[in-house]
Amino acid sequence: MTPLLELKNVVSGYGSIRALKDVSATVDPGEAVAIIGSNGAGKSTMLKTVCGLVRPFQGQIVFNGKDITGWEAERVAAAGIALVPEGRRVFPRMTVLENLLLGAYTRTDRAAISEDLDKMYDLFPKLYELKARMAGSLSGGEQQMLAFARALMSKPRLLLLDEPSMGLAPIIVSQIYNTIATIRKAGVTIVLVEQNAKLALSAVDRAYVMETGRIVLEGRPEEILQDQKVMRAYLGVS
Amino acid sequence: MSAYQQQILILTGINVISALGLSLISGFTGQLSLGHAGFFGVGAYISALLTTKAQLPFALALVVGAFSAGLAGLVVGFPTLRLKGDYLAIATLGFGEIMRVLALNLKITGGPVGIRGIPHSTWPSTVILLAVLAYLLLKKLIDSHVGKTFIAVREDETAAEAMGLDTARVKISAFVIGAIYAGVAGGLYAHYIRYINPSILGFMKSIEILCMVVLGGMGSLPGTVAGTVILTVTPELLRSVSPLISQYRQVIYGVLLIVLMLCRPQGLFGGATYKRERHVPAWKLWGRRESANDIAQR
Repeated sequence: MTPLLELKNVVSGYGSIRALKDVSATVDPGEAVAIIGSNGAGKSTMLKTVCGLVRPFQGQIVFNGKDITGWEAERVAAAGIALVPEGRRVFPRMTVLENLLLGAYTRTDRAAISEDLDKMYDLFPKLYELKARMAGSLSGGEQQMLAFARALMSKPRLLLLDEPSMGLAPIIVSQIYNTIATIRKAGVTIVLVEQNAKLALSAVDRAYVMETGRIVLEGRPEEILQDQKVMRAYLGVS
Repeated sequence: MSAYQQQILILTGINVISALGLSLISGFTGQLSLGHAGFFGVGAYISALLTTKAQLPFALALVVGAFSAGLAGLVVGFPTLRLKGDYLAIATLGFGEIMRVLALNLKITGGPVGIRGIPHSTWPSTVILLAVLAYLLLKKLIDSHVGKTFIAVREDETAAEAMGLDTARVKISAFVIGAIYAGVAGGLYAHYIRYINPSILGFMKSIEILCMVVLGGMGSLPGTVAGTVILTVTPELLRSVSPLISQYRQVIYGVLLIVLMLCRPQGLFGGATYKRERHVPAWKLWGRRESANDIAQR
């Protein structure tokens, strides 16, 4: 099977700092892949590089058969990659509905957009109740739901989730992970970045373990969980 | 109406048009600009030169002046794209100063003397009509789907980029449209006062307009108008109360600004978007019919 996303020897970072040092990875269509690792391992940089918010210094990124290396973020978004950013980053002084419609910015098929809007309200009934509220007045969990729905409104082939559990109460986190499972069932390919390794491994088909800008291990969740040495050394889990 | 009252009315209208332009740039798109007088000056000088030197009709000169200002907005917009917040403010400040120094030193602009004998073509009806038109056009823009992209850039530029917005284009559009507004205001001003010199390009003029936008509330159109009317009319009202107050009117004006900012840091109308629930039905925006959800809830 040809992968939906392929990173070939990608080197990336900020200014003179290299946060990704020669990273190669693949994501197959329909797959859910986790990227786990401790603080500063380069997980978020990897996502940002894929979606064009950070330019790679070297290497190649291929999405859906197209070389998207060095594309501007808006072009990547239009090609079908949606990002749920770290810390949610909804537009605070815009209503929930306006946030959702901005998610569909790259699309022009109005009828289909309004259908998808209804789908989002079915998936997140709470958002329907809150649609006229300013996004900034929502709770953290509600904002995370909104960030998910906003990303899904672009009808992405690939959904990138950056630390969706960060700063949320445990009960909200389990809700979020239920949502991820629902999105997976709908056939959306997912790349999930998490610091909470066990949680992430419970939700995916395959995972990469990162450490200081490199991928140190790749495998199925159960394989990684069994590798006590890796769990302790890289993920701080005993 | 006395000639004096008419003058206040006209200057208020001109300031409203200019402030609406800055409102789009700073209030809605979040790009702090301290060079608005520069755009105003381009509109004023170009249109004045066209009517005095080239004998062009006023309406045409006003349009050309406005588009020249828009072009200046494009020129400012591009190099400053990567700048944010205070850095952008300083760069736009630099633009305003360049325009002032140019007007001061070029032969064609008349140097420090400026341009005299500009035909009187701006009448109250012209100003009121254009101010209302400027307001309605901007309101239509802000309420449209495109308008939301300006606000999205203000709210979170990175997130907007990840949504697929071309944030560079959004910011440049804001600068160009805002500059056109200032250019129209400048053209009207030149053909009302009939005499312009480089002082209209001064830094304080940019600050004055920014005060109007901030006082009214960043990101509010009625607020921008209210702020402009208050800050244009109040100094004149204070002038006419009593000789004592008249003497101290600039002090009172300053105190008023401080008190207002202390009491309502979000501006007169600024908080409204936060608290008021806006029930914009989805079908209004996208031609959406009632969803299964609506029907189920009955």
